[in-house]
Amino acid sequence: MSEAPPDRRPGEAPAPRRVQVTSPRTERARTGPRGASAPAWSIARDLDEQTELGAVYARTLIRAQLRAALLTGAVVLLVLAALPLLLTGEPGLGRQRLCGVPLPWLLLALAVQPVWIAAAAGHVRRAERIEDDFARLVDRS
Amino acid sequence: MIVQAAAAALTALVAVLGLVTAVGVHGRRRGVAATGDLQAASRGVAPLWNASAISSEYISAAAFLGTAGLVLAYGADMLWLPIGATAGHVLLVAFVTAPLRRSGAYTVSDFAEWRLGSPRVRRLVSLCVCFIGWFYLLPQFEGAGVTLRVLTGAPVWAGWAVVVGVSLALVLSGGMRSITAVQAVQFWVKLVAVAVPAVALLALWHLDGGADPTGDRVPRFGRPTAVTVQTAVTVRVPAPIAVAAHGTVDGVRHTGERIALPAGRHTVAAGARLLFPKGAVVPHVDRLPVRTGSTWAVPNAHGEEHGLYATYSALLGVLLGTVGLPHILMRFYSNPCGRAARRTAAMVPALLTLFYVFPALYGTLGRVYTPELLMTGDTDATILTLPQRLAPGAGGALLTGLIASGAFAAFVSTSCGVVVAIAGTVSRALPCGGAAAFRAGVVVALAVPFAVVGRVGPQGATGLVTLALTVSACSLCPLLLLGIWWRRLTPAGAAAGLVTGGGLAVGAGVACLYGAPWHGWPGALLAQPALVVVPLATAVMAGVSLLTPRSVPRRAARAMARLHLPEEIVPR
Repeated sequence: MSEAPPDRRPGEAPAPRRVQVTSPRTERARTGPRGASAPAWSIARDLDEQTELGAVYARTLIRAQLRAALLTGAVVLLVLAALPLLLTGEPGLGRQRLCGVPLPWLLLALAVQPVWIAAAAGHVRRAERIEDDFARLVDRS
Repeated sequence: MIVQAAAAALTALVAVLGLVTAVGVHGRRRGVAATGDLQAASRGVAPLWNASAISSEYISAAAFLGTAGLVLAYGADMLWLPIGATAGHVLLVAFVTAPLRRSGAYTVSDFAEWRLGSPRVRRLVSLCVCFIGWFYLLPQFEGAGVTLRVLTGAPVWAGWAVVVGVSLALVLSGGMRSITAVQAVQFWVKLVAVAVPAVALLALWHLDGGADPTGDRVPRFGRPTAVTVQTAVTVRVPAPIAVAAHGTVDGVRHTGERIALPAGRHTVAAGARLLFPKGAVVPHVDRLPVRTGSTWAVPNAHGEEHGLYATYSALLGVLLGTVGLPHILMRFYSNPCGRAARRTAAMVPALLTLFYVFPALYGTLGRVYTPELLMTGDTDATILTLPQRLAPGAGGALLTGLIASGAFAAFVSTSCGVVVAIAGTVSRALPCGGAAAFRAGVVVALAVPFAVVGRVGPQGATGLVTLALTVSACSLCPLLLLGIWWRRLTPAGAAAGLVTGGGLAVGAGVACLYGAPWHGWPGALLAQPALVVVPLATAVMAGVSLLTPRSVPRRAARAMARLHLPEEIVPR
């Protein structure tokens, strides 16, 4: 990069040296702060050092993750709050039977747990999508 | 019968210990983590393997023995506990695991100090970890005592000694190096130990005519039954019965003659042996409710005082308590990155669901076949007594052995996990440091519950675990949630919240264990304080933080970014 241009003709006045101008970020992205093996993102150091820009980026990610977590938490709390009320408020429901087994037992022992499995799996998907989107965003800038 | 059961139990104990040792030695030979530190969790464990280990630590004596016993006594009301426990792991997935792993902290205390930069908060967190661990170890001791007593007739302290000895040996020899493998294997041992006998017993119950436990009457003895009372009890007799009595009943000595017991309270001295005829109504020990099959089968159906409050409070305690359990949180350190930790945590609800189908089944069968446990109060022994009752002889002994192996696996895995968590936390506070401090921590972790377990009344394993979970819900859970998601948390706020929440929860627990029985609202509040104390502790933590804005750690924003940015974006 810093060598003299090879195509200078003899006798001409030396042209102003051509200087390649690159953003220090691109420079860093090329060489990488930790050598070429580690993937280096242009925004990585901003994030790491909490510059103004990095802080804005980090805040967006945290907000998105918090929204996802609150959504999952709300589903959990809603189901947990509704079940006792449902079974207390509707005693008739509690006395019904399915295949000879009281309905509350089927509901509490078998039906609710799959909801938790699905909620956990769904949250993992959402959270990872947020992280992937963020990685792409960082990659682009 | 007891000889067979004893043989089965001892074989099971030896088998579990052999398996644990074999897996441990194998793990060490493979050199999972050759760096000799006792506390170093082996890195890079596959998510399913680590999820099995976490489920294993979570399924303690309370889940294995206690849930079935509670279902026997209280019925549908107790089905809430497994639901709350599994839901707690969903919250763990959503709010805690990935950020906690990305913080790089090994224990909760490490996390608190790293996030808030305050050694004082660290010490408070360590104290909470100790109390939670001690409350958690008590039921493991009690459960082991009951198991050995029921199966071999050994005194209860023999079971306590087994737990202490095995935990000491395992933790001191292996530390965390090979314990992930040991724990993971034990989860599958427990699942087989609970599932195979359940299927066999269900088939036997069906062949036996499939008696319905939900009929509209109080439990009765299905066959002539001899009951020996181990410790003196006061029982309530729901309807007049006639029994043949050996020993002291209501202060009068009998030598085998038939006596009439009118409805009401009666005292039975230790060592008395009562012979109940077929069809006699089962007397209930004073602290357990007398419920007909139809109210037993329906949740909140018996118009109990503050029933709805107790249900919600217990649910909240179990739910949030699971989020803050130190020995579970420590396990995620075995995952290589935050994403793997989150995936691991997401598998735990599925594994727990597999397990939790069965305790309710045992409790239901117990209602038909082992109703005398309602009289002796040994409801924790339901799952151990059932096989011998349904299949006397070699088949029953085999099933008992299988269940006993699961029970031992439950005590051993949970105790080891809790002991490592306490020791890992305490050792950092000791001046000597290193392996010596870790060993001292192990001794502290085991000595305290061993000293007090004798003085704790008959509580039932699950009651004690619920207590530990409540302490965790009121102290560590708010700290983790606010510390991970709220930048403006200050050391002063965290300390105030921990003291308020932890102090009130521990106080209520001690009052329940040692105080006089309370009634009405004070009783309900002391037994299940979570619904009041959790919001209070959180409000104190947030409020004091807002009042001390100057002491927000200067690197708080940076720490927040560390917690939430994926590792591949900011290599650390």
